[in-house]
Amino acid sequence: MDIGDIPAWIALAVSAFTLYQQGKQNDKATLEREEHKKTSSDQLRDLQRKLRLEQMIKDLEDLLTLTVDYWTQPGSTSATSALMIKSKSQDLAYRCNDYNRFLWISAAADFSVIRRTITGGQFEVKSRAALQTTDPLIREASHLISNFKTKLRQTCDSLDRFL
Amino acid sequence: MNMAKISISKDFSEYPAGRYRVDGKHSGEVFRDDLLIPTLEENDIVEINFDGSMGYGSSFLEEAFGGLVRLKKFSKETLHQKLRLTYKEDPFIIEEIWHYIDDAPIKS
Repeated sequence: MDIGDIPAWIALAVSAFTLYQQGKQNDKATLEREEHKKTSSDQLRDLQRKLRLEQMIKDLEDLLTLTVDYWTQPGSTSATSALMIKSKSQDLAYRCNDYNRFLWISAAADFSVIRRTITGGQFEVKSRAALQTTDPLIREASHLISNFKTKLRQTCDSLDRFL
Repeated sequence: MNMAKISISKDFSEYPAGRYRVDGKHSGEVFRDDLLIPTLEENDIVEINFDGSMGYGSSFLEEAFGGLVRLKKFSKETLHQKLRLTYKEDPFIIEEIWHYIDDAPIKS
């Protein structure tokens, strides 16, 4: 080896080292970009789930209003509320099944109990008398729906990492 | 072995409603007495599909299915042998119906 080749060898070594470092930096940057992308996509998914849960809370509030309205009117005059209760209950039951990946494990079964309570007994019986707002059936329905809403809020909070 | 299929939305009504016959022509009692019992009597297996309706009240379901046992039209065991229930949209309704059949009080 000629003595004049030494700077060339040094330059080659420096270039190789720089190239190696750049590769490492690039890998790190790619990894960080992918992590950021994944975090953003997770945050977006959680936000979309939260919006759906908040809509369920609103629909449950509507369902309770319809339930109280229905049962405090006599059976002969409340066919429209009855149809709306059935339609809204059916829609909420579908959502409990569709969202089972991010709802609690017994959500669909819990909602089934609500539906049985509010559409059972004398539901859609024309001769049914109007109930008082203090009737055990209305208290039971309020209690079940309120518990379900609380669990939905807790699920929203856990999506926010709030709890 | 005879087998029959009933689609509630197509063969009965998209809007099943009410418990007793006086509550309307699509009530649980009408479904049970005019469609379900004759079909059960004529067939070994009856498959009932619940999809496509605008929702079911538990009062309708209890009268239609719990009523079969309560009024001694069929025993629980016979119904378990004969009935096949399907509802893709809400599988918990099927559990509810079996609960009405299995827990129906029998009139003496």
